Amino acid sequence: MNLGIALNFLSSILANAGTLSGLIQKANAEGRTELSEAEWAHIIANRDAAIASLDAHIAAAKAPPPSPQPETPA
Amino acid sequence: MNWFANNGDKLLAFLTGVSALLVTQATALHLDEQIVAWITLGSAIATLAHTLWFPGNTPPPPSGKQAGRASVTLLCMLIPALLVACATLGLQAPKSLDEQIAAADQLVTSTAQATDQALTAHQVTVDQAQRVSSLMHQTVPFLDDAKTAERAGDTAGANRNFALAQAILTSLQAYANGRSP
Repeated sequence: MNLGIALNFLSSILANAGTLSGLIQKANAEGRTELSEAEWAHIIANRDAAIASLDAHIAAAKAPPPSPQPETPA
Repeated sequence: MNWFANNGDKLLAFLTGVSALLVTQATALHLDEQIVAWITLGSAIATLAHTLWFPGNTPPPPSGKQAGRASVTLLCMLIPALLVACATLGLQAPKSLDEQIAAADQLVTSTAQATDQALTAHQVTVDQAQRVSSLMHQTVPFLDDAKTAERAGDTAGANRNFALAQAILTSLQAYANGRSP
């Protein structure tokens, strides 16, 4: 399981690198030296989602465990 | 495989080094920048080697043969992946500033995702993840400003903001390597 997590590190880096390479190849094939607005929006959305996910997990890890609620009589 | 459980921070350091290499490689335009890329690669490999082979830096393995097999397996899996990564980016390196900024944005994404996974797996502490997140949040505005300036034709402003973003990413690598102030 831990080895799988380690490979997830690499796959995350490689996947994003592959995505960017694909975008650049497409832009170059179309004679562009800049990424389109839609391509930029995709990159920014992925970036912000990754940071938001990290922040959410940090907040969850920091939150104290819920205390058991006393049962209320019926 | 206990090595991963006890050395998640070192793994993060290594992979951050690799990440820095990828962006440096991707943005390298001149010979001196290529040299910096290879120095970064050497640093990343040295970090892994130090973690794997210096007994004082790692807890005693359960048995010599088992730990040796785990280390060899790890290297056999990581090194080809590293070579594939370098070859991939070497073939499709971004050339324009626009593409270089995008590469830096992708590095931020990769680092955040990798840290997120490591935190979920309890391989880094909350404080370590918090520090990485903080540096990510510092980097993003500079990248966004660099893109805005670049699109507005302000090349100098774009380069200035991009350099600041790169400096923060470099400090992230230093932190991950345990040399942060």
